Amino acid sequence: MYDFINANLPYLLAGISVGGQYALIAIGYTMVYGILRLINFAHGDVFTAAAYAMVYMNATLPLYISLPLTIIFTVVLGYTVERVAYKPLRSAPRMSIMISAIGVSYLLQNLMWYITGGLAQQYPTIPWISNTVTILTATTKMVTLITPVLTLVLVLLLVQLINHTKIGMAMRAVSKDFETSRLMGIKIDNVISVTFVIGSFLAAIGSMLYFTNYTAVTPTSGAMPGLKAFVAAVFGGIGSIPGAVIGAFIIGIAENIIKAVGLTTFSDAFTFALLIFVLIFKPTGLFGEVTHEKV
Amino acid sequence: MKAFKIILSLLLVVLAGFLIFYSINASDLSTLLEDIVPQETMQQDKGLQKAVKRINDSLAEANQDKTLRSLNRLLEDFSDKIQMDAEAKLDLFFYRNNKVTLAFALFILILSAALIASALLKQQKYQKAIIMAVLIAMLYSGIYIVENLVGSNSMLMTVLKKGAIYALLAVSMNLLNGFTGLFSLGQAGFMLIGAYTYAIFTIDPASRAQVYQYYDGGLVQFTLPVMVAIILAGLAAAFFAFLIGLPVLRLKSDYLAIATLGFAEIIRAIFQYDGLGPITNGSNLLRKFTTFNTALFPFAVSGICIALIALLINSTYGRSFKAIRDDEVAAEAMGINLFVHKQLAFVTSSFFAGIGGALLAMYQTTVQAAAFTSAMTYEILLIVVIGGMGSISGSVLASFLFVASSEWWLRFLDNVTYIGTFKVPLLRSGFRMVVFSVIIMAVVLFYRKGIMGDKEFSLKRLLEPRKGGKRRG
Amino acid sequence: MKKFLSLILILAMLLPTMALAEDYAGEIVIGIYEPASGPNGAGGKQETLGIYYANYVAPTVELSDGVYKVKLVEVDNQSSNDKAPSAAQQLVSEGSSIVLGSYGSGVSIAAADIFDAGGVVAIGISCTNPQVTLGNPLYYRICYLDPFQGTVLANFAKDEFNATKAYTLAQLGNDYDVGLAHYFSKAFEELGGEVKGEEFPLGTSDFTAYLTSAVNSGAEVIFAPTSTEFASQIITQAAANGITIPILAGDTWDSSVILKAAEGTDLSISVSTFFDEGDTGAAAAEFVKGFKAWLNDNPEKLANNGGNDIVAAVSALGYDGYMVALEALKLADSGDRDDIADTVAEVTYEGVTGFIAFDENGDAKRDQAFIIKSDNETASWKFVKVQSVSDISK
Repeated sequence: MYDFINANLPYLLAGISVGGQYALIAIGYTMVYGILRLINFAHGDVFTAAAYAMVYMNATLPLYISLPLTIIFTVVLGYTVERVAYKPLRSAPRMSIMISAIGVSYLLQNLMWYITGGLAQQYPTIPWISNTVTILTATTKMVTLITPVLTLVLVLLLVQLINHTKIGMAMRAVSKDFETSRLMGIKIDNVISVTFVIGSFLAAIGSMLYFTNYTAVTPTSGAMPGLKAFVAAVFGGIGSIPGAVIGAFIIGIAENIIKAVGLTTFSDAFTFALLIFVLIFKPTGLFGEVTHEKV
Repeated sequence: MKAFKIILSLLLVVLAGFLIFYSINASDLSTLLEDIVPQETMQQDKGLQKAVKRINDSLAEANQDKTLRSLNRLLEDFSDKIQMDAEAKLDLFFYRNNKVTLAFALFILILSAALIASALLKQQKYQKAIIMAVLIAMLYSGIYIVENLVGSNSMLMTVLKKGAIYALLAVSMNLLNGFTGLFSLGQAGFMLIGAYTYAIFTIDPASRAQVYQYYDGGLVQFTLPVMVAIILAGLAAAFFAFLIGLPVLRLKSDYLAIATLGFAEIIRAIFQYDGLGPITNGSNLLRKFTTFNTALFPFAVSGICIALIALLINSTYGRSFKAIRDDEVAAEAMGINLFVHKQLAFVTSSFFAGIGGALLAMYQTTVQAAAFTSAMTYEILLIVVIGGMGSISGSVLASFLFVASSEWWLRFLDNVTYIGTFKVPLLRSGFRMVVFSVIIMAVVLFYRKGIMGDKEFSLKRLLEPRKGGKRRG
Repeated sequence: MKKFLSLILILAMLLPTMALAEDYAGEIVIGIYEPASGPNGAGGKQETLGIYYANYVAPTVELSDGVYKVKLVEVDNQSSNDKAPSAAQQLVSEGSSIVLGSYGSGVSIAAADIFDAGGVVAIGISCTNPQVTLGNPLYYRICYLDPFQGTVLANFAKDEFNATKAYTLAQLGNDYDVGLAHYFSKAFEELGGEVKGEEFPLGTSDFTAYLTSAVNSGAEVIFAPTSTEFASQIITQAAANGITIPILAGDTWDSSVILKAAEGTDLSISVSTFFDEGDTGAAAAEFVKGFKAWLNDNPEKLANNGGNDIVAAVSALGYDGYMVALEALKLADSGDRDDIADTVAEVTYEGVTGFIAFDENGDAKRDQAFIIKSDNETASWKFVKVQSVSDISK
């Protein structure tokens, strides 16, 4: 029994850690989808851009400046992407805006490739959360413990925001019925901007936690986590924030269990298999709401 | 008019006859060499001897490329030592440009046949068919001629080959996304299946032990003829599309996109799986399979496939697809069986994607599962969008533009350039892709309909002058 | 008067340019086929630096009909097998007489047919997988092969660490990784050991699962011949998870990236490589001195070398590769591809990495490997031993 725990604890810890990081990204996806019915393919690249911003800023500025500056940079980036690439296409068919998202993702990846010369950069060490800590017999970084805690705190704050503030009510209204909310006088542009700002803020925090654990930053680092976070959002029920978080943790842990069993080639494929399973048998996800399509 | 056409066509036939006669009768190279290189000069000049020997060696090896290269060198380096009279010059011209003159002669024959036909058959639909035939003949003979003039390894031919392959892939994706309105992102997976099926069945048996070095030579030990392998590639992809389509096609557009993307990733993981190594070579390269050596092959295969897709779209099935795209519920109400038609579109699109994958494998000369990522699907999607969703000619045009820009025209942006001693800022490796992405974003945002919108390329519109005057009302 | 003065002024400005126009019999193009981005970008850049330094030392080649200037044309194959053919194609189209490269066996194998069709001889510099030259008549190489390297490391694992169980980690689909791991496993099993092997897909950042798997399998040595990008991840995560098992790797780990990642940790990292910076032989010492001076002169070159002037083995090999190419040009006595193809098999050269001659496959007749260990306090390499074929106990 003890040996079993001994052998498998690192996998579990890795799973919880990465699950929390996926959760922070997944929230961004689920919020944007809930309001705009758009899969923001560029979200994973905003996540990577945040990491690069940290790498470059930390090279010249002290940590207590570069940290908040990175968050501001990421938020501005998310906001800009929305304004430039998604707003003009709001009245266009759904496919156009999704293609625009793919185009933005492509552009961001190529920009990062160009600016960094395509070589992996080392993420700076953020003190305290990078420290090693021992749990039972497994050694890991402090960030593994911090992540779930921080994630839950942020999610609770977010849920409070959505349920008890005016802007939160506006967000709920817009995700329920876009047209009517506009007729009711809600400033759609502001609501959408706030959504992207919150999503990008969480992505920035997520990137700090993720890259403290996995220190090499390449332009495509964010592609897989982004995709998995999206799967988590769908799995938990698109449009539902608690669902996205739970989905993310389940995916993070399951992924590591698959690696523990020895089928490492399939760890990524498993995530997609889970997605397809959910889509076919319960398309609204674990906690999603069933919407009816009117003819 | 009629008489003029007939006389012109007869003249063309005569010209073609001359070209064919001289091309066939161009004497073989060794005797030609003996004629133009005098014996005494050859005995004195060691360099000349070496050059002539090299040409004869390449002829013995039957290495056409090397022979021509050596011949060109001989003519360049020793132009003063060679004696060429008019007849020798003509002979040499026809030897060196043998293929070009034959192809040109063939084209002239087709042109004259078309002229005769157009003189004799007056109806409009025949005229259109004749013009189409001439244009197609011009395209294919043009490609062949250019290839032999420029050399099949030049940048232009590389771009043309890749462009032709991407054209087929773009049209197959357009069939699904643009004409039927099914937003599917699984193209890369079907290309992968097609590429692997083709490669596995055409690897030279002698090289199998080497290619499958970690799997004791692999399971498949025979080869199939090329055309059979290509069709098999398409069928394999279509089969998997059928299976995948069963659960996936009833999902709504966004979910369909993610589900197909997911399946593409799963397929990729399966092909990289070690356990299937004896068949797929696991995650290692597949190589030494049959490739094409002339650009005509991908053009021919793509051309036929695109023609088939165009026929499908102009049939009743095509109209059903468009109806489904415009309004699914209305289409169902009109009696169109949604599931059957969606499956048809999905399977057909994947069949051609599989063939496209096989062609891509032949172009790259190596196949590896890791290369068929979702990024490849996005590229093809972007091509379709730029060309115009719902326009076949748009997709074809856009794919050539896309390949030419990204592989060739914009390559200079990647090189560090100096004007004098001033280093031009921004220009270094990677800038090409940035500029390219910006252009794509501009098209997506501002030219949403793409180059051709949903219209096809029509000669009529091109040739008819605009009816003048302002429109009223 | 004014017109006359301005004319004199213009002529005076032109004089320097006229002086610069040297008298060359012509120009010969040597193509550089290397990755400058992607997982192998760091190593590719270091190899390219070696070639450029060699061009700085020997910018011309003297043939029987005059002195030719050697021009280098570089392409980036992006460490990826599907970008490889078009990058190789570009070198062929630009008129390269001979091509050097690549760092990374996979991209070399992928481009072999393109070079073959163009009739261009390619000299592989640090690509160690046998498939690069096997079946490719125009591909040669100047480094040793993976079966040799794998055997060397397997013997080292047994001799130095008395290991009977090993764990290998390779990147899925990477010919170098998978090949070297395969040869290591074969040699290790022949010595009576047990091997557990795993492969990770491209894009993996999380190696804790694999490292835990290694610990759980009771491995006494971890063999991870990955590219530098993944190497730094593996090292930092191994340190974070408190792994104490000694780590072995092949020539890709001979890089300052590894030293930086391992600095301050307790990990034991031993690596086989082609060249040792501390080699006291005359040619090697002179190369090291000159190369370091050349690097330190230019901040951009220093950055490409990883931000320091530690000499990577691939830079030394790149230097030798360029010199071998010049020898091939001299032996063929022309810049023509076919002439070079006819005579290149006979080339011999005494390089800074040892004596180079080709066998019937196009492989270099090499029988020596250097083993170096990382010194985590000073972030530098410590020489351990030279392993020869004759030393290997069967």
